[in-house]
Amino acid sequence: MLASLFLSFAALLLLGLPIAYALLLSAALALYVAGIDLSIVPQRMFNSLDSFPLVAVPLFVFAGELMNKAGVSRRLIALAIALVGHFKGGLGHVNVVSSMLFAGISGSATADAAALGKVLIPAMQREKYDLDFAIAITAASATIGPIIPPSIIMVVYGSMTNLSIGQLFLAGVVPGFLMGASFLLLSYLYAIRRNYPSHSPASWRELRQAFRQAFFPLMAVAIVFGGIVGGVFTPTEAGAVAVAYTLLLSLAYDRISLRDLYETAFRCALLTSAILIILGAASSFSWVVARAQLPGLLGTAIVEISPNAAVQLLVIILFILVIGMFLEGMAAMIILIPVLSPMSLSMGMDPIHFATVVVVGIVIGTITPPMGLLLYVTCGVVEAPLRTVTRIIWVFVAAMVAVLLLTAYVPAITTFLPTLLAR
Amino acid sequence: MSAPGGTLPQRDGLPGVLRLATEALKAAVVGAFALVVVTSFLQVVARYVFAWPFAWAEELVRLANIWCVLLAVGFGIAYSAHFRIGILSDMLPPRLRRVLDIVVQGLMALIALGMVVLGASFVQRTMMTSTPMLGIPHGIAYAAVPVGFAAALAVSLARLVAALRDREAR
Repeated sequence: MLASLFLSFAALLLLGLPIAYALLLSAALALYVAGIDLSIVPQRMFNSLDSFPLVAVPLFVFAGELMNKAGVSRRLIALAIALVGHFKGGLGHVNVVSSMLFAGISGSATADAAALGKVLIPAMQREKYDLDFAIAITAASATIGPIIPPSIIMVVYGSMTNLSIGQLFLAGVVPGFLMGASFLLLSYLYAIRRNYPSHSPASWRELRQAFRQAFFPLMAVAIVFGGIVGGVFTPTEAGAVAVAYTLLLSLAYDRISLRDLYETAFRCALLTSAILIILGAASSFSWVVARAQLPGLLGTAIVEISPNAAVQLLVIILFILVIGMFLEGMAAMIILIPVLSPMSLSMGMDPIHFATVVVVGIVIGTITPPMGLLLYVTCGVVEAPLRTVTRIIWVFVAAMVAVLLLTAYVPAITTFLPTLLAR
Repeated sequence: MSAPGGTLPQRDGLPGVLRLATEALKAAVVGAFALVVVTSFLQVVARYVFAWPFAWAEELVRLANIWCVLLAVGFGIAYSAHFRIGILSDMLPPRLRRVLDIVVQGLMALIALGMVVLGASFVQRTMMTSTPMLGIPHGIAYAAVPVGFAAALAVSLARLVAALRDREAR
């Protein structure tokens, strides 16, 4: 049953069927062969979507898009230039810092990469940065978006496993900052090696000016990120507030018309649908997987590899990284969660800690060739071929893997904030 | 016909009725989306400003979200918004690619048809019970599945016809 399920799924994917459709058909075939009533397919689809926490997905998608509409990226980038532009290889650092600021409002990496890349990659080219570095650092630092709260991928993880999304968000804060720090370091090393320029230091007046220009966008970061970390809002509430605030911002900056708003809402609905329909379709697939007791089988198999929990975790991480190379991140996670999350318990690992490891691992997959969605998006921004970055990106992947291993083997990195703030 | 990020198939060639139906469906998607956003925000206001959360809002938001997701599935096909792996299609020569396209669109139409049929029988069986807060019959809420996939079926069939015509024309 399992073999035919996965083989038909892989074959349908390869044919070019949308992931959701491939999940539906392969699950339906497996159910049919097993003589099970197919009416559970629409039923499970509906029930898996019938979840209040999932409402945060359209909200954060919309907030991210509105933020782009409001022209917030320009203001945040100007602030980042005033703050870190004077270091050697300034625009590289600017890229990382703006991504981190963006991450505090936005929950997805693709929105960040597109918004920042459009401004920063051409700016870096004008200052004679190499294109491979400009694209790679934009794509890599965009991955901070779904790690620093809010995070669409964590909303999905939490709603699939009944883990607290608020706790998952908190667990991502320190790994997100570690990723930022490692990219800043890489950017500095490249700047020295390739002799990249720096901006002249900003005067106090310029710095004040930059802060004033970026004040209201920064308030969005403070409200959304601060509201989540401070425990003021539930994730869904934070999403609703983020939408209201970014909408107000884009109206105040006079960047959006009613017609625009209609089309923007439509595009966000399409993206939300594309994400969540995979979840709905995967519910039957994972039902088959659970019925065939795959999680248990894998659990036994992994114990046979090694009784040592640390080694088992390493095997799981490698597995996630390899899957991430070939499958889109969100889809990979939705398919893997029902299989992987029961293993955290048998390994005696805190489920929030385990979830963070999975999410960071999945996010790394978005910048690994040959199927890194973020690489395609970022290369697409400047219409560069993918091969421009297929070498240099591995340096950034290595840095992220280092952060991932640190996150995996030093539990305090993820559990510190959730336990501190839960009191 | 399958340009990524493309538009609806044969947009200008669509008969008036179909175009009207498309616009109506789009308005329904945006309407459901707006309902999600506005109600979620009002709920925050109600809870923090008036200290008066309304319980039916949560149910409304959930249902609007499900309807929005499912009604948009067809548009997702038309606008190539669904996540998929296009590696095989990219490697094939144009002629084989067209054949593959026909196979894929046909399969997608079949899957959508299956969801319409299965979903409709599911709806029929659940018309007698109602949702706890709003008192809507469950069947009406569940109808999002067959209705959404009916739209998806229509888009897939339109693309299948377009792909077949395209093949004949060569």
